[in-house]
Amino acid sequence: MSDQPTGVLPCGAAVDDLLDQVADGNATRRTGHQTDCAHCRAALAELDDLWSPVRAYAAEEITAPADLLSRMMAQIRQLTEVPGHATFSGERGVTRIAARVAEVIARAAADRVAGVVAALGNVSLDDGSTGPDADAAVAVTVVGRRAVVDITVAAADGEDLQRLAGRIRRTVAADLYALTTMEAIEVNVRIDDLA
Amino acid sequence: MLPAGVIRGVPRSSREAFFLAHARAGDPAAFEHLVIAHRDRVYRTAVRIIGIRADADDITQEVFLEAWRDLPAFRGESELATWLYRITARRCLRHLKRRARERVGLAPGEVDAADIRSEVVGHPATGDVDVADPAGVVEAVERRRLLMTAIDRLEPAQRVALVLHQFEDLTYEQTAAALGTTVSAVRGRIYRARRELAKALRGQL
Repeated sequence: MSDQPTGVLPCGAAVDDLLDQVADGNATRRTGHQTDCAHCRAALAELDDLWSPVRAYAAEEITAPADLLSRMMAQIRQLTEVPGHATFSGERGVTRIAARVAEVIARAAADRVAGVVAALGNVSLDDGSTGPDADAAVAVTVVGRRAVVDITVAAADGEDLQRLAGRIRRTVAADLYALTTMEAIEVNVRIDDLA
Repeated sequence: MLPAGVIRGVPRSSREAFFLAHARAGDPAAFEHLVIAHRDRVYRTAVRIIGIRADADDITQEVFLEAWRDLPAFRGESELATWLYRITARRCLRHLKRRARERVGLAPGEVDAADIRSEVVGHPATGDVDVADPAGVVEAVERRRLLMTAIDRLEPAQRVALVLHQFEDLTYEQTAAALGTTVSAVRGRIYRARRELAKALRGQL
């Protein structure tokens, strides 16, 4: 291993240049001079052999441990999953809005609808969680930014209840989107009383 | 060398763009696809820079956690792979500096034994040697030891540049982009690193 060429060959070629040629994988791509020069050909062959452990290491397959993915994703999911919250990722960070906040918005929206005397609301996010009593074991399969709204109201006596329910749906969905960008995929209206 | 903008094994596919868009929006399931596509690249790079597989495992996790956190700010101006190489290089450099401060670097000649053996036995875990030329095996093991020791002795900046260019097949331009430096600086580091390796392989260190 100690008879390797160094410095400048008798033909004037710099060994450093030949080393780069070999390291770039071009040992057999000889220039016109190298084709005719025994010094260069010999030096290239020696350097090619010298460099073989580097090539072997470069070609070696190194793969991540099999369980690395699951360990990593467990950490990432832990960062992501906040039960009972809708998650919005932006360029400057993540915003999470609790289901009970959406509940307040939905209830206030329903309260404003003409013909509603009183409203009670419950919001469940599309990860299956609801309000502050969310079940942490629920698996999240999509980003929690869509909501199912269940709303219970007391209607004014004499109202067309089907039309009232339609107005409640539109108003609740519009307010929820306007204030949170949460999409109300369902607004279930339960008319529980007349007043 | 590959054309600029193309990294070995990483076509800019619509599939990756799809997962990238959803991961940026905060979908961990989409991010998982990106991790699957790039985990070996990140781990392999860390192993070759750090030399210790357990530490490379930790760094790989750190890289993807950082990527997940910063993904919304990733504007796609570079390939995802280049961006991950950049994070990996920065994390590895930080690790090497910390190791140097704590004086827990590999002692001269001490490298991950699995990395020495794997060249000749093909399976780092077993240590079995199954070749017809025992003298050749001894020489191959010795040359691997010289190589690994030489890589470990390189200055961190040289080592990272060498690994990205020589082992990961990045062009000088891609290496410079991953390291946030100039192409001429990268050329200089790789030039010096190659000569150090050659000296070591000649038994001159």
